[in-house]
Amino acid sequence: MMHRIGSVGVVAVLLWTLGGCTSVTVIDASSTPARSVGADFSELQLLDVGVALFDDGVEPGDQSLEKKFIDPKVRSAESRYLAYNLRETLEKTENWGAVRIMPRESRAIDLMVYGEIRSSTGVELKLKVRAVDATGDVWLDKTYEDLASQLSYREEIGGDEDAFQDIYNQIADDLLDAYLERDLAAIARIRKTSLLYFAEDVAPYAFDGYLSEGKRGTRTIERLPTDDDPMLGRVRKIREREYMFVDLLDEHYKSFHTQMMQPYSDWRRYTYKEILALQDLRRAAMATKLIGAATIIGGVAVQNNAETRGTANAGTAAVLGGAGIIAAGFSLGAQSKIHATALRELDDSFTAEVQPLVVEVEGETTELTGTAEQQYDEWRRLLRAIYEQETGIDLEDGESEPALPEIKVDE
Amino acid sequence: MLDESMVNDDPTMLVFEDMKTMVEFLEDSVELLSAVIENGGLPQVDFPEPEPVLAGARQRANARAAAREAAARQAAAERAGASQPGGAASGQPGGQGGQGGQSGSAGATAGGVGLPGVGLPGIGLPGVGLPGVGTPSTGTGGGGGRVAVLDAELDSTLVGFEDELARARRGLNKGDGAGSLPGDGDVSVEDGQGSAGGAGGSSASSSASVAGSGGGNGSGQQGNGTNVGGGGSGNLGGPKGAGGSNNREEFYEGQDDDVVARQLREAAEAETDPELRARLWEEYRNYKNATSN
Repeated sequence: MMHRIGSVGVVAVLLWTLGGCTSVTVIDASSTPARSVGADFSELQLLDVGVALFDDGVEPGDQSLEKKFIDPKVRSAESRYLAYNLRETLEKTENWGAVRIMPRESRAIDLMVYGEIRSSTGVELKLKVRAVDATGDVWLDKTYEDLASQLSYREEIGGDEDAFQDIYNQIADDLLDAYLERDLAAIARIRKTSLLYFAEDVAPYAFDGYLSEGKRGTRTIERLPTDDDPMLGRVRKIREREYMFVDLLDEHYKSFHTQMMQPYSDWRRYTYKEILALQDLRRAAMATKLIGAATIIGGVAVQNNAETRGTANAGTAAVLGGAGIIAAGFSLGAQSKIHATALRELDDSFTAEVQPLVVEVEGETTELTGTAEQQYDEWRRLLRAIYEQETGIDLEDGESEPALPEIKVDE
Repeated sequence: MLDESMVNDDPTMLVFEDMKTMVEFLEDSVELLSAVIENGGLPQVDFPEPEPVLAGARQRANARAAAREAAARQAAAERAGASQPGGAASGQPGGQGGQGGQSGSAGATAGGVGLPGVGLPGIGLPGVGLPGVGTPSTGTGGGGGRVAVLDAELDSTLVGFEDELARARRGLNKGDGAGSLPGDGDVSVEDGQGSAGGAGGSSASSSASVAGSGGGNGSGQQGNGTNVGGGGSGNLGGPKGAGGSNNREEFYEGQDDDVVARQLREAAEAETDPELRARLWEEYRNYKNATSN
């Protein structure tokens, strides 16, 4: 009796497994547009947003990457491309001031958005997104996931839209919600903090003590310079150039994004097909093997409980049949390797096409950043000299308290 | 030894009391003459060394800025000494005051703001500053003028950086893959068939009234089909050769422009009247030639 229950249990598991395989998920081919309310905002209400290049989510030396079909070079390109997708989405909502891709850290930005690629294939995209404003307040810390459908890759339906546009729209909506949760005073505080944070970087002796830092990276305004503070005016001028510089980097990434769009779309489309075929075959192979195993177990059970020779023979036949089914399962598994190989070839082909673009944009960023840093050193030197002249303080002998007028923050 | 009654009638003649004095005078004269010959006929003046940090356009811009700053500093010190009778406690000999006239940037200093002047160092006559006990020019007393100079320099570097960004952007938009901020690199000419410009010298000389001097680095531009490569910092030189294209402004896209050049260029670019536009470009080229050193 125990043996009969066991075989029934195996068959139940098998049916459950097969049932699971046939579940259907309905996926919309087109995305729901992100909300846009920014047209009502005044200039003072707009925050500048920076989208950092995404973390590629690849651990150096991870031995399981190949097994998971993760190519670090593909991820490297995606970390830039996907970040730019988010930047474009945010910009189109018109809910923000300038939205820029940020290949390097900058203190001049009001709100920074960071992303990490948890999974990215033609079928699925999973991103972990975190948004932090200049005061260190976390706006968003959430994982987003979306599945593509075959329709997403049909140009007559999907058009130019990204197969995972829903994710970006959802992030944009969540950021907007976080924005709307904050009052105007909070928004103004963020803008002032980012200005002082930048000022602290280029002229620390003049703006020391204006901001205090909390243990968790939060920043609080302790005091404010007057609006007509000449040193603040100079800092503003430099910050404008920082924006211009970041805009230039942004244009480089726009160019990179444009050039990568078609190859990446093709890569996704082909990998979508291959991944689905691979998954189907693996699932079928597994199911077949399970059926074979269940058949063998059932056959053995029948043999053990056989009361007649005929029944025993039937059990033996079931065992042999089960072995045959398992062999067929292995055969299906072997077929799936064809798709696995195809996926790797797609990765190779894609990286061969895109890697030069990555190298180029990286090189340009490094070169531009290096030159800009030299310029920043020059500006810092000038600001320092001006400060010494204005205050009579020789900074070589140690920094003194700033002599510039101050006003208390009126919260 | 000489009959005084004979020589006193001729003011050009020198009178020595004895032979030793005359020999000493002759030795001094020979020494002075040697010094003049060695210095190319001009007294030697110590110019500030440009910072050897950057290359190309920015290096030149910074060198000019450093020269301007040094000259302005001298001018400010001079003013401080002049405005404070008995000042010049820094004890700078009056002779150095002559450097105040070395650069056109004195205009920027005097105005406090505005466009920094340009021009190559000149040779000032030795000044006659009075020694005294005033506030040092580098102290708080001279801070206002110095701040204005530094502010002007800051503005100049900001504008220069803007221009470099604009050039890099143009490179990106042209799709030449460069898109980088200009660095070293000469103007490269490909497939040129026009005659070399070579007019830099004349342009430079005509621009002397604008900038005070001009080296006439007439590397010139070439004729048809020329390409300026790599956003280089090559000298703009004179007008292009006879075979130049109609769109010759493309060669003057703000390479190494300072404030004045930038304004001239922008005015030329914005001008719709062809005649006035041509004159503005001419002024721009003249100015660039004059400052290309």
